[in-house]
Amino acid sequence: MGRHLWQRIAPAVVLAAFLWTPVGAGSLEEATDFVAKKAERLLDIMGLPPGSERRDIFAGWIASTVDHDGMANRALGRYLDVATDAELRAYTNAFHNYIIITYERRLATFSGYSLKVERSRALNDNDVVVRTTISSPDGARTVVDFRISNYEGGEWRLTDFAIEGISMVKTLRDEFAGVIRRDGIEGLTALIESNVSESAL
Amino acid sequence: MSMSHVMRVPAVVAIALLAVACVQIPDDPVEHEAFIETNDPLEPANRTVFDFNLAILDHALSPVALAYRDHVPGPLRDGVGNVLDNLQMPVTILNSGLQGDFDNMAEATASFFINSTAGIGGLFDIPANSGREPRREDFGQTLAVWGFKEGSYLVLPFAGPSTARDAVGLGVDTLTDPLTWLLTPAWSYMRTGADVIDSTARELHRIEEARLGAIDFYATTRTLYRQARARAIANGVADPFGLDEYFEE
Repeated sequence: MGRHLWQRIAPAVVLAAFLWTPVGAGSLEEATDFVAKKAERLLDIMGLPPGSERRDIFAGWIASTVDHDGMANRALGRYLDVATDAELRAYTNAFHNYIIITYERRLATFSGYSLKVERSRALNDNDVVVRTTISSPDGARTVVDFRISNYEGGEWRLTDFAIEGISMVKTLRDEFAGVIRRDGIEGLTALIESNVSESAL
Repeated sequence: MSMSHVMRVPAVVAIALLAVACVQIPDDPVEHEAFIETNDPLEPANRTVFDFNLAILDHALSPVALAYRDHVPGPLRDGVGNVLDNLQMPVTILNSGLQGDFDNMAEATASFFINSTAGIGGLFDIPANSGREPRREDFGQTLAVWGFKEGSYLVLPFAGPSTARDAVGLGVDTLTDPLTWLLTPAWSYMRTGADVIDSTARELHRIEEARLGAIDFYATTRTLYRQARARAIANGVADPFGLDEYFEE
């Protein structure tokens, strides 16, 4: 490395060293607490009678818990780089509605379950995975891992979750990839919108 | 297996190879990478088989499985499920050994003998009740542990999602299962039928859950199958988030 280049990047390295805040023990505890509270609240919501009121409350939970824009981007995978701004805006909007409508119904199967936080682990500077076990009323246990990340303003946000090792974002990414290959991002957005309209009926 | 069945295998392989040869690989770099990652060169044929399997599920299996679930008492269904699981245990014992996982092999062996005797032919799963249940292993998992790649995604008629590696594994499991050779054809069909109805009754709610709101249910099934298999191969410690580090059991 030439001396000139080092002189240029040295201030950035020093600044980064000051700004770099790894997930410490206190933050890990905070992250775990965030997941415990949010997951408990989610199970409470799923215990409510189905209908538009539960859906609205679930939408509020999503808004305060999930990094839905980041999730939408990751669900696009490699196609994120080729999406135009207009395509991305329309897709993100459709994705947001899709998550609310679809997952409000899918997660309703966990109505009446109880949750136990097992352990948590910092995966890197920003990501924490919290392992929980949720138990059905008849005692059947399901492992659910929540991946959360530091978000703007130092808040935690849910970026993915895995039920028995099945990641939500990976599942969506693999599902969307085939549709994009066939019909493009616009086609995917149209399909999501029509799916949301049908499901919301 | 009759000679005529054996003779059909080269024909099926030839058709599959021809189908793979006819597949057009995209030139665009993004499309090319996506195509390689999906690893489903037989997708059009797979989709046809998938639709056929779904029709069988909707019109034949689901009604029978629902009737079984709604009219047979829970404890009896648990007993039937336990017997079927116990019958599969020799395959787990063999494959645990082939993978060098002697702890699971010992647990599976103990489980098989305890359940077959004290558990009245497997009706009661005694080790599971005390929290010591061996993991199920099969030859597809063994091939993965030995370093064989999964190969193309396949949808098998009636059997459902698979891969080239798992399809070979399924064949070897059938051949190495002692009951394949001990049961008469009639009992063998009854066991398969009971297994299909029992597993459909157990998993139907999961299938419906995945189907609910799916954008492309075929693609959903493909990724769910692959993720579940990756987890089974890694004995439950696969990292679902694509990160370098994860929990150790």
